[in-house]
Amino acid sequence: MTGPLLYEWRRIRTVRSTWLLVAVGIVVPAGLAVLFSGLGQSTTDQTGEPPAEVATALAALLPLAAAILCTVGAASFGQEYRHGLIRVTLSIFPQRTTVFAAKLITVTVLVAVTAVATIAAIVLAEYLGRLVAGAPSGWPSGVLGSLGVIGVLYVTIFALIAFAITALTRNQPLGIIAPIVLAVLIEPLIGLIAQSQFWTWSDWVLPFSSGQSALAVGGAEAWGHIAVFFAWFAALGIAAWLLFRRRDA
Amino acid sequence: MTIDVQHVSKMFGSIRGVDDLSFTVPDGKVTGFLGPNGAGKSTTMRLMLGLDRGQGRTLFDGRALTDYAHASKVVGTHLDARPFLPGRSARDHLLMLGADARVSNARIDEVRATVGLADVARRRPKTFSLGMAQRLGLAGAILANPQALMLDEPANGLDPQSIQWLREFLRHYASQGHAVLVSSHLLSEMQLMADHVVVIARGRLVAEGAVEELSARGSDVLVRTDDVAVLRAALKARGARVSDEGGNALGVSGLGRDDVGRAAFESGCIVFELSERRASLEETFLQLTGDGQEFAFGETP
Repeated sequence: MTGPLLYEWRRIRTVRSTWLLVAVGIVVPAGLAVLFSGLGQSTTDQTGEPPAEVATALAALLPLAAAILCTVGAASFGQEYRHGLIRVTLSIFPQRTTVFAAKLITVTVLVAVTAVATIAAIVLAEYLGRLVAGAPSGWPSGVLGSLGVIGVLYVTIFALIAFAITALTRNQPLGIIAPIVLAVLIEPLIGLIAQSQFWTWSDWVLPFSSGQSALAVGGAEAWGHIAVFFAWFAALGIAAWLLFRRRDA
Repeated sequence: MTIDVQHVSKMFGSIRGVDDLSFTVPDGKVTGFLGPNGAGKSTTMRLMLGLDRGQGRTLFDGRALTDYAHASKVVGTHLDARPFLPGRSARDHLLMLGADARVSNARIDEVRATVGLADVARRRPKTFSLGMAQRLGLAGAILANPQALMLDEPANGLDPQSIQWLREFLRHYASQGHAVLVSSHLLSEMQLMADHVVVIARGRLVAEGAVEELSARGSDVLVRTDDVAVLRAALKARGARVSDEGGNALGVSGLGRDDVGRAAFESGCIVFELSERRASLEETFLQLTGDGQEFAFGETP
């Protein structure tokens, strides 16, 4: 397994776009967090609860970070299929499950580490923004607990769903666009319809609605939502793995 | 290392792309893999490596490729003209390919120099010509110094000097006891490069053997005489296949030059010309695969 992991690490690290996406995934949400903290000065002044403000910023900005970083997930298989490199890879590593696992592990670790950095950058930016604006500036230590973990899981699972869709379809643009369109357009529309019909199940069934609910609510409910989100990835990931083992490269 | 291809088959819907194909790629020789367009050469190579799913099996020194811990040390492959990311530098591409075999930086530099890419290490391959892309593909194939090489049309896009270099390089590589399988449409080139040939058409084996042996199959004897009818009858009586070449000449196959001369003498014919006609690999190839072309041309206007 060391060989495939080293191969994947070199594959991902020697592409400039990887680091560009990682940088954008950290800097853009952090930059927006500074803006939000400035705009939200009056609210912060009234409530005096910085952690709540940080939680709101994370719930608003982590989906953006996830949408950027899902490109890293999609590129894992997408670049190889697009440029015919998958045949070279499978000639070097004929055991397909090993190749799939190495890709999965590499994407998971890279996106998870980036998500930690993104959350840290958002919290820091929010804190600095409030300091500059003269708002109450208590350090939001609560975010380092379950909310932070949920945030990392949300971003990582989002990217892994893009990874699985690309592996299933062998189409990188689709692997990027499908999760974003589902998260931004289709699921919110279904959610609106569900709301008008007083259906309460949509946040517990739809993948990206579940993921976003996990960021918005706290406690055990958040873990339930993130479990639904993960279950969707697991289903797509298992289907992608089975297909990858069987079909022509 | 010897490669044994055993009863390999592949269906594309209802079409049989590769049909129960068995052949051997011996070590120490360059084996040419020939066939018309659509004959199934590339598919066969992918099946041999387990890249495409099908029936049959391929053994590398008696073992499946999946049984080896480091497949890149067993067989190096170059199957597509541009199998790399356009934005990744040539050196980084080779660094990635050498990860499993723990190829050193010195070896990467050595291979780049061997294929003539020493000066473009930091360049991104999106600017490479087809010939340079082929060189990078070959560099990837030989990086881990594998026991066997499988190259699909490696001479495409190369200039004459590069083709000559490739020919000498592959012959040298094979001479070190390695098995080398090369598919190509350049039959004249293959005649110079290959020691052994496998010919397929419509996914089936048409011929396998040494290049000389195969060329001999398409060779015949030309005899020009004063009495074509008498000599034709005498040759047919000896089991030869005879064709009329015009100008009192006959083409004779199935008998050697000496036997044709003896037949002429015994039948009382005067012989004006008696010569052996050696077929080129291309002529033999066309004879062997004449009706095996998947996508045939129309008549030339």
